Amino acid sequence: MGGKYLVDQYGDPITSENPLPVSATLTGSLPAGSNVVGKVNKNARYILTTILNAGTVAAGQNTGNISIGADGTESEVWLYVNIDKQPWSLSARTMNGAALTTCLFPEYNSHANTYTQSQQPATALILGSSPVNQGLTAPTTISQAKDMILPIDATEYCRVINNHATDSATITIKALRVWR
Amino acid sequence: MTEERKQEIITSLQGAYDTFQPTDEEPELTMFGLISRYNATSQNTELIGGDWVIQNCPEPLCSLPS
Repeated sequence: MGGKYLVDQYGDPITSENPLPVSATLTGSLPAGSNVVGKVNKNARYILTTILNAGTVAAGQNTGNISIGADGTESEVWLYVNIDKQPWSLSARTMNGAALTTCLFPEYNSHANTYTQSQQPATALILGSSPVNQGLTAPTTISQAKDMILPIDATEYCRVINNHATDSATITIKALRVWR
Repeated sequence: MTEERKQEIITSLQGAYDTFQPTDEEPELTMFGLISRYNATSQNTELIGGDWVIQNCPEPLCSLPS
């Protein structure tokens, strides 16, 4: 290509196949404590949002329904959980209304590990279905899980249960929405 | 919650913040780390969490990363 031309942040020419990003103005507000990190690269765009910021949940109780904030356009929606007591469980709701631990991969059902380091949270992919209850075969690998993702929308939520017998748990949940 | 109790909680949280020492596993104090320490050392009968800290505590507590 000769002459002068525009390039993107990676030094690649702007073309119809590599267009300029759309400029947008966002309005509205986020819940207190939310952190949003957005990133654009050639292969994926994501938004990371804190949907529960260090909540305290009494023994045997749960977080209540925590809105995930998806809109159904995502390729993948992941949940990151930090928690300082075990066992614990994580459920997510599908558009059909099922809110089960089997709606995520891997499944965290009375899970026996804690995840106290912010850099290493428990990680789960939202499936959008409960395969074992919906005539499907439960995935055993991430690849299988990704292949069977069904979309969720803005009404869907997740919930963490503190299964510890006596102690309150500290819980942070983040939602990672990915577009590939 | 009484103002006295609120100040008692803030003092306890500030103490956890002031005594935090970074490690390889925990290089910075997050809101999770603060509340986890508070839950481990205090009677959190009110079940306060990060949102309560953001709404009621002064800097730097209210600005801890999540």
